[in-house]
Amino acid sequence: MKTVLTTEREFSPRLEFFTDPAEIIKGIHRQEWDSWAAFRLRVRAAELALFTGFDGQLLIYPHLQERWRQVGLVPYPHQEATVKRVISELRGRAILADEVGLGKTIEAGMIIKEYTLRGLAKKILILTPASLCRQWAAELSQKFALYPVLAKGDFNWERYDLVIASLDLAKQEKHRKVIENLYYDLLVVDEAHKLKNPSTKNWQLVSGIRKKFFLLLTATPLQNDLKELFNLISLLRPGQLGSYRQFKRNFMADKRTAKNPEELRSLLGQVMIRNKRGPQIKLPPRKVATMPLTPAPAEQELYQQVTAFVKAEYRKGERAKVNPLTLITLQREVCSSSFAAVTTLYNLAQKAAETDAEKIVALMELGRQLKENTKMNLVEEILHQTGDEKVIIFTEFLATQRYIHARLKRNGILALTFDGSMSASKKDFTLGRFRRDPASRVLICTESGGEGVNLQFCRTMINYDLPWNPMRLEQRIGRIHRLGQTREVYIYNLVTKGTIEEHLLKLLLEKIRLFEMVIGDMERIVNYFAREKSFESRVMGALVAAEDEGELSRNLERLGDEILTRLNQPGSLSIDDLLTVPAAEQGKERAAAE
Amino acid sequence: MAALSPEEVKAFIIETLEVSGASYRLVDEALLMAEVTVEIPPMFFAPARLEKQTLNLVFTPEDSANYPGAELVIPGSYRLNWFLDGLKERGNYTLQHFPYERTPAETEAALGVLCPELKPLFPLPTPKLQARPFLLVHYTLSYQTDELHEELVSLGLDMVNGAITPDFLHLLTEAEARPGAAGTAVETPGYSLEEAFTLLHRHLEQLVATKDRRWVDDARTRYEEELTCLYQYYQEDQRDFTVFRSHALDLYDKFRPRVLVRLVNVGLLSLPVLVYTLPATNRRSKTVLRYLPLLGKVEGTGSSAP
Repeated sequence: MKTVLTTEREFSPRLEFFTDPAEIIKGIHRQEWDSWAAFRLRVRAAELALFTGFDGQLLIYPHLQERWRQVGLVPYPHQEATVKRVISELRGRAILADEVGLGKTIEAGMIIKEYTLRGLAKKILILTPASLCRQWAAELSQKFALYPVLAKGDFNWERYDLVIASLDLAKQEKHRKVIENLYYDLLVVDEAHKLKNPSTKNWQLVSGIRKKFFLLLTATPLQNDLKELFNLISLLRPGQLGSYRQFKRNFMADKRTAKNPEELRSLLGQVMIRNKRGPQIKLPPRKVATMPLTPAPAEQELYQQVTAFVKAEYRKGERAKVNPLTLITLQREVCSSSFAAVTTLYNLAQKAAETDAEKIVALMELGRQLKENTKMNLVEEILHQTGDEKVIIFTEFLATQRYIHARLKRNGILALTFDGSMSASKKDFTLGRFRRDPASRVLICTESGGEGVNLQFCRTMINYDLPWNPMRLEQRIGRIHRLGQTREVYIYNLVTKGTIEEHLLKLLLEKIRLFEMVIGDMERIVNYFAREKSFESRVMGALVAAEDEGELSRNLERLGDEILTRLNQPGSLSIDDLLTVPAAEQGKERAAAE
Repeated sequence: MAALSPEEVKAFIIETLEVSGASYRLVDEALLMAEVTVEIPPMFFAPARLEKQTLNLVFTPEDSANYPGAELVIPGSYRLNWFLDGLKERGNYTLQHFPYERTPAETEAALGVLCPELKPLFPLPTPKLQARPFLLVHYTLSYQTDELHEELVSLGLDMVNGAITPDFLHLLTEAEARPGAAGTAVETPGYSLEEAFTLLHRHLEQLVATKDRRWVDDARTRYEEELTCLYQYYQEDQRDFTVFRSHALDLYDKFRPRVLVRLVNVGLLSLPVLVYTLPATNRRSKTVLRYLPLLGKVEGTGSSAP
């Protein structure tokens, strides 16, 4: 290390003159004199604009008060505390790991603006998933009077000071080379859970960017194992947890069980801020209604035949001609609508051998005969009951989305569609129209389209179909049940009787009480299933193993028991476990502090 | 940013409006209405243009509640910063002289306080009024590490003898300035402008060198903490030394102390000098005294004229 420690001389302050005396002298010779009053006022203005260090007061508050009044933004106390802590204690380098919906982007925007106002950050790069670039740009301009440039194509990285780019664009070789040669005052990476593996291009890009201040944003800093957490922290501050060997020795009992929790907690607390919902940060209540419906006989027939086909194929294991993931998708589709299932059946029929194809085509024909979906009757009823309220309908499948749209249009209800295939500008336009146009009452959203978007001006959501991953369900709800939501939130889950959805919802709602869980618990479930088998695969396993509905119900009941056991077991992996002082030890810590 | 009371902010805004020639009206104690000219940037096919806007300004949160729609102008607010930014176009260069209009009795009283040893010589012979050129320069010094602290420096350089007086503008607070060069004889400068700036830069270097070093030492401590931490990560794998070195250099860039010097404005000033030629006595030869009343300074006491 001696070779890089600086000498006394290298750490002596150097003066850098920003004005060339020759230029000043030229200015004098031009004899463009101003008055004495203007001269003195200029000095006074310079005096008033001086930065005099961080005294605990944030400059953004007075600076943005007018704008915030106009856009109706009032930062929450936890957001203000986060900004102050990042700037004063964490020296501008932190993982902002608030739970979903608590305003990480607002916190990051406040930090960016504060550093800008303090003259400490000028060249700033924000890396986000491509789908969120424009949302970031809109948030920064509307709420913080920051006007970033979106990087695309042959982008001139040197030219612009405040840039938003997708990670995918920035890591392309031609861009990466340029970016790594620049020096950024501040680097912000959103959805930073994608940076947990040092051998990936994402990690290497972010590590290779030269930066003064550094923010990583993620609601799930810990998902699968402790090594990933180590990698994320080491990206932010290499050495914070020592070398990997030291980390393993000091803090890992095994890949997923931590040891020395107090010490680890203290080290994580030095670089990570996680705000959670609780007495201090409250959201309006959410009301969840399960809407069971009886399918039409033809729908039931289709469901049963497709399920029988899926079960038979799935049971073949490695001999199956259809990919198990496709089978899971098909099973989920038939729960959503016949229209969604028909698309996959068509694709399967194209690839299948002649004998199999006949069977698949027969299913497809059965599906094609269905011109309506019973769920829509319920949707229309809900829309009727909710009056003028804006409503978001979530579905996992484009074909279902198209059907819902067509049906609503037929009935004179103006609905907008929103999905992952849309261009960023079309997405912006659609969201803006949904927000502002009173006639556009309904937004029909697919999962990929809805990722990361903020729709808290709306309080009613219909889950037309149910994602089999509880985190995705929570992500959907997080679009409306988040900071900024002032009214009670209504979630309608449509469930067709006699389908796996009915049992699944029972499992999630009644057995593990998903909607009453804190995010950390949910993370624990998802993490558990990530290392064993995915939650979807387990649900599918339960379905395939069941001969009848009773057995399916028992199988899912057992899965629920397993989840509850996991939740109550010490050592299950959750970032909140690592960051929170256990209740039993809180008293001790307080006593020690006193 | 400096802490200012609402009264100070208001006074500053009014002064700015007056200097810029904008019309304004104090509607009552709380509300100030001002008509300002704003530059609207070019948009699509419309070229940039100047537009008059009326600003309704209040200076305390209480007044803001009483006048909905009025802008609250406080330190750090957008509107105050807008005025501050606008002022960057003004007051960059000035040429001023300072007349001297005190009576001989007032002058002698002031001299007597400065140099009591002169009192026996009172009344002094009538002085010759001259002007001395000064270069008044303001700089902001930004002390930058991973933190930033700034200060404003006001330096007056005596163009005859090269002496530099700090906090120079403050000395002229009460003085009446008049535009243009002095009408009286001006002393011959001993320094060119180029030499003057060299002296000023040297003075600034001295100023920084003698400043309390805590800002440097604290940054160095933080830097070394970070470096030690970084070393922990890379110590076990020598292959990564290049990466370590590159990260270490980034850290150095973040923490190394720099002083960024930015010029604010420059004034060429002629300050009055009263030149007294004291007759020779049996104890001393003929003496020339130079009295700079605005600076409260006397030169030449005890020295002999050629």
